[in-house]
Amino acid sequence: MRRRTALLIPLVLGFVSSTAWAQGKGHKRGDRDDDIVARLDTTVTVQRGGRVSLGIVSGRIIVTAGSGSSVRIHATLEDGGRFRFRATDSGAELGVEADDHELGDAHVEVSVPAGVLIAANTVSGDISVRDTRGVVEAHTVSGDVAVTGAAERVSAESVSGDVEVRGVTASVRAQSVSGNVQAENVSGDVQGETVSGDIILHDVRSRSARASTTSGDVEYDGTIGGDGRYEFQSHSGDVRISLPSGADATVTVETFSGELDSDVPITLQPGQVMTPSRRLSFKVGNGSGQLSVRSFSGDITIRRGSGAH
Amino acid sequence: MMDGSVSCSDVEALLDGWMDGTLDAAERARVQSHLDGCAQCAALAGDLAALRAQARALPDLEAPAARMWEGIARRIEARVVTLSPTPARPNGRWRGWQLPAAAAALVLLTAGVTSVATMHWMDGQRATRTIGGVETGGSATFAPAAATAAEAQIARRASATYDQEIARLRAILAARRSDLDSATVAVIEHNLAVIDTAIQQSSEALARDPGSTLLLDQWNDARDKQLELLRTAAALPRRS
Repeated sequence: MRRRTALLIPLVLGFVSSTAWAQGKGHKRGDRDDDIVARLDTTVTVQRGGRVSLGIVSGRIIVTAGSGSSVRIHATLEDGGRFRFRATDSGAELGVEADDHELGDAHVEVSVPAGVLIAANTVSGDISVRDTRGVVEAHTVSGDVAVTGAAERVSAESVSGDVEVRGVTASVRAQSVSGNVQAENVSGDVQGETVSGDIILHDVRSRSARASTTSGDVEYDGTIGGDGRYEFQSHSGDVRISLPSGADATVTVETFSGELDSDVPITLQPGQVMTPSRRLSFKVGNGSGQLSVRSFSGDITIRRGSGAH
Repeated sequence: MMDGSVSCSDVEALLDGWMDGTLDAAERARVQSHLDGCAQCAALAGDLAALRAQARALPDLEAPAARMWEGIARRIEARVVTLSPTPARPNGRWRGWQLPAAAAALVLLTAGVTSVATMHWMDGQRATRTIGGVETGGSATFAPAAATAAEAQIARRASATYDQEIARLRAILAARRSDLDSATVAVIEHNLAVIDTAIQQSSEALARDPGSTLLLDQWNDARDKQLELLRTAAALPRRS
């Protein structure tokens, strides 16, 4: 079973485009805090379905749910640089640019109406998006990404930080390179990827869940059944699957040098034997879903879970 | 550098429109005048024009489907075209957003080529289910041992294209190293080493058990991750 790894490139493109806007509000010097060289406090109206783009180089972005149709932005910039801000019919865009080659840390706090699309990009810094009930695209290079209460679609990416997505009704793509990826209480398709981090998918209700890591572990606890497809693999890490009661799946387990530990009764089909490459396939329930678990050298554990999902 | 009322940064912002022919006459004249007198911007315009020409030369490629590998059993008819060499630029001519943006564009261009090439290659592998190890340029590749001559040739070309893209992306990363945050570079290199280990282990296991679809999948997963990580690294924004 092969698939294509998704690109992290939107992270970069999003950043590049975010710094190429037309000039908006200028910077203000001489604010009361000595280190703050620019400050932006503004409120604009954005309709449901609009887009709020936030692009900074260094610093933290925090987005929370507000009320009505107002987008409230409070942003400060330390040490150097200035903000660029533009409000359009379809949304609002905030970015930064260097001032005399100086660009400091930004702290951006935004509250938005429910249903607004959030596009948040930073090179160095954390991103937190909470309860916006809309699409979230959050990308950072070095920093953590945390998304809760989103809807429809979540794309959360970091290179060296952790990525967490919780309590969403959305398709989720969560990626890191060295960080851990965690998705919890998710209704929707889930795709988690990392290279050296762990992937934990907990309380997932989905017809499609995938997780791939090279040296980390994978854990899955969620629905398995219907006509769903579930694929979990690591190269050298362990893979642990919790099968909910009432699961219906054709399970394929493959490992080259790892061990298989299962408390699920495994019934081999007539003529079926463990192959030299240690591939085993068996049915749970009516076998309607497809569950594939692979590891090159890690152990595979399949347990009966208590949840019904 | 300034030229009349148009600065280098102004020209950078207007270059796309200048190439697309969407500028009005006055803007176009100002840009042209600046390019005539500024070697740096003229070079940038030339680079971008070359990049666009490469894009136009590519065949129409379908974006890789999320589950492209499941379609491997079906023949892919798109022709594989190798991009002309575009070495990374170690000099200081690329400035600001230009190199990461160009790298990102190059990455996107090469992604389709590599995907199609790899699909050709996997097509051959799946068709035979028999795999033999072949050493090519220091990196192990696995071509179908009992494939037809044509399939074997496709496999070799695909593998060569893949290796070429890996080498190119590594060169871009090396050229950009000083522009990137050192901690991020360290993370990238550490994880490339993790992937290299996975590729090596899968490769050695495949040599002992060439019929294993598990090992082939693991090997290809690792190669996918290597390529994707290098693409990401090549297109990372500057540290400031």
